[in-house]
Amino acid sequence: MSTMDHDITEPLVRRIASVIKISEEEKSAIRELPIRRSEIKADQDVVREGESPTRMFFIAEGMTATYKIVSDSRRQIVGFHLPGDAPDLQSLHLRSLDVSIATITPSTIGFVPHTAILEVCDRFPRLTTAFWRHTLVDAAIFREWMANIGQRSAPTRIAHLLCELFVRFRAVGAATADTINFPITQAEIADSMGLSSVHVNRSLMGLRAKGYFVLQDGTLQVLDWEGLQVAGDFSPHYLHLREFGDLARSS
Amino acid sequence: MQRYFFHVRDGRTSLDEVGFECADMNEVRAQATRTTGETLRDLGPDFWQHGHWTMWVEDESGSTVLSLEITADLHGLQS
Repeated sequence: MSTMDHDITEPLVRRIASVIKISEEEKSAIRELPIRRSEIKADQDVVREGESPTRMFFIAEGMTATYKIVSDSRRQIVGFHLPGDAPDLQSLHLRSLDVSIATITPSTIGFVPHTAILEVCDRFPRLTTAFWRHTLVDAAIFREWMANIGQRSAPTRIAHLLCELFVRFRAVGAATADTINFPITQAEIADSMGLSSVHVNRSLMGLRAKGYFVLQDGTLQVLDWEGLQVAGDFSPHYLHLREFGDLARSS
Repeated sequence: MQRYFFHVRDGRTSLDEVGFECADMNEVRAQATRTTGETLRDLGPDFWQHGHWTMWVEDESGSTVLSLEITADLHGLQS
């Protein structure tokens, strides 16, 4: 295990650059962070609710699900995170974690001491803004999920989730023109969308029959992007990506 | 784990060809009631167009292991 690993920071650099324009110097500062690389199998907790980590992590490869266990051991997944995301960034300023985060695929995780992040933010205030914006976008995604789960029908909810992941994967360059990795199981869709697995199954059948996408072997190929967005009542606005122009003023 | 097939009739018939693995009959029943509830929620006022929902579940041998029916009754009022 190396303590300095520059390659694995590339997804993080791309992720930050997707929400805010940063200089080469700032990119170098991220690449030079002291990173502890860890290979984690699928379905393992990276951090657990109640813990007080002294380091944060980002995903170099793979995917995680952020979740809470409620009353009778039911699991609510409150978000999915992709390469480049820092799912427990809030641990930098909030003492104990209010969620657990688990891998859903074999993942390469980079751990960074909080002290190193705080130090680099002192040197480069724009990175403070970048991490702040990352957190705000996460919050915007949570708000959208709340609206999604609270008011949309099951097929619309699921189509919306597919649209979101498609746009987010593309934003960090982890996609071809029409295909993304989609390792999320039907049970995980169910736990994230507040639906039974059988209803997810039925809803997916209906969406497939309309020819919006092909979902098999862990990949999602979108055949009709316009149609899928309409089916999912989806607009990428809440993801606040630079490529959609609403952050152009910050460049 | 056994695979169960959750079929639906609500104006049209929709057969489950994929099925879903359940640990025991309690899970089969829970999936059936949750799916019925969630579908009725999705349908909202549209449920009254047909006013009938049936879900029946078959095991791998094709035997029906449970069914669930929801029927609307307008009590003669048409509007």
